[in-house]
Amino acid sequence: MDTRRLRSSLGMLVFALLFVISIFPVFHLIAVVFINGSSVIASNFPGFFYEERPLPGTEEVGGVGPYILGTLILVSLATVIATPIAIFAAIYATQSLRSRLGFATSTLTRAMIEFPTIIVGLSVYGFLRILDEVLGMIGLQNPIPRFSALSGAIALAIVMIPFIYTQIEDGLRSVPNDLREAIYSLGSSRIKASIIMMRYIKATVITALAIGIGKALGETAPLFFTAFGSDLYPPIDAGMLFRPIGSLTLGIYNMALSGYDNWIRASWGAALILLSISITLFIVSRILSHRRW
Amino acid sequence: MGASGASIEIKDLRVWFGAREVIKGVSLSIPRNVVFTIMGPSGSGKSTILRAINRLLDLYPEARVEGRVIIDGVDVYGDTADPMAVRRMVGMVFQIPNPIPSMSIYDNVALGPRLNRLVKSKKELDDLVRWALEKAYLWDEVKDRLGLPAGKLSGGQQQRLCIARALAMKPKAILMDEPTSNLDPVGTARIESLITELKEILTVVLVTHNTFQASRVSDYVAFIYDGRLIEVGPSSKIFTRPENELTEKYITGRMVA
Repeated sequence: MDTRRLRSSLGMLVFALLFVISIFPVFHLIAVVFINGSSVIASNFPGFFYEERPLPGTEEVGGVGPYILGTLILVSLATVIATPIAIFAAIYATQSLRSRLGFATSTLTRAMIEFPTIIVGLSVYGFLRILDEVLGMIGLQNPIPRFSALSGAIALAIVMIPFIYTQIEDGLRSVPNDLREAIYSLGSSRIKASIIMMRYIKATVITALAIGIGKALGETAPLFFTAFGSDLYPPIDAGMLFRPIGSLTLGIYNMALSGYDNWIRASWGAALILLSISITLFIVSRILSHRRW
Repeated sequence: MGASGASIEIKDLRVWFGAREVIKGVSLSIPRNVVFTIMGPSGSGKSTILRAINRLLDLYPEARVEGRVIIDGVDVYGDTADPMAVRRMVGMVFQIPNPIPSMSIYDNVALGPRLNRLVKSKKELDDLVRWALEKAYLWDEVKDRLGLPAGKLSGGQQQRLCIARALAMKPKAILMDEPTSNLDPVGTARIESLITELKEILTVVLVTHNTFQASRVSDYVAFIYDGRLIEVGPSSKIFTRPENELTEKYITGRMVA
């Protein structure tokens, strides 16, 4: 074999090796969570999905039902809060021509991506604390308790907004100029024009939502000072959103650090469920964004 | 329909993009129900004049407009003028056929009426869509597949769809920015015959760099060069007895840019 071929094969080998090294952590993570999690879920199926946390230090397997419910409530609520804000901010920034405020919206929202999420939770806590004081002085009660599903959802929404916003702003800016002119030439307002453009970039809108939701699903830090966590099912009533609530991430965090074998096992199960939701979300959004409507 | 076209008066129009003056004082008087062609080489400012008429230049933050445009007595750049109302009064067709590709044929035509709440019932909208598609000579080709995404039509059909979309707002004038430059000869011929028929119901302002097209369809021609009006007059006169040497050079294809 001549040296040129030798160098070529050597190069390919190096690339293959680097590829394996870079991809390994992802597969390792999925494999470890899947192996550890599936055996736990299998040992109490389907009870693991709806039962509450087991008694600590026993052989009981229990379940993570309240955490799943909490995550679903928190993330849906956060999505409902974040989506319209992010979309309108993106419309404002892209369609307010000649406006400094539009530029400021864009720059500041993009900067928010870099905010440590624990700070987001802390600042929501701090803001609600101040609101308590201020409203208290004039004899009113703060409608949003500091430790509640609502405050948790607000914190998650703040984490989500810049991710959704960035995608949609980039999408709106990518709308071809001739299409933009066509829509405006029909006498549409900026809002209506933007809504039509959103139809044009719907794949981007779906991806934006998926990224935002995926981000909120995996967040723990912003919930410490807000949702606070709960290991029991919340009573389903009008006050539900005004009480502390658990989440899969908080459940995993607490149980994994507990030192009780059966809690640590349960946290593996919870991790698998969380990972499955994320992967499903990713796949569904891919399918939706490629479908012609 | 009997709907009458609008007259358009352009007075000392000047347009800047940033520091660059693109239109350097152009005045044009466009009578109603004619095909008025703005002709000139690429980069002469033809499209900019067109976009000044319906205030589409508002979309470009770096553009600055001076002078007046008066459509049927409405001062387009007046203090009380509403750009959205101006754009409703003046339809536009672009160089690249630009229907919204994922929207159906029907929805593309219905877009303007829906955006501006021009119709009260589904029946009225159906009739309007049909009327616009018939006017654009597209109805027979698409009547059985109105639900098809507009992106599936051929280039020529897409351009006629865009004309129908503009017509569906019942505008008084239509601005056409080189509407055939991306079409084959067959598509071009159909659009050209359509243009001459459209003046029955509205005023057509056509922009083209193609002198043959200008001579085929226009009643009046304005020759624009480097942001200035060189010569304007009835088509028959401009093409047979041009007064300006530049105009003559351009129409005989001897202009060296």
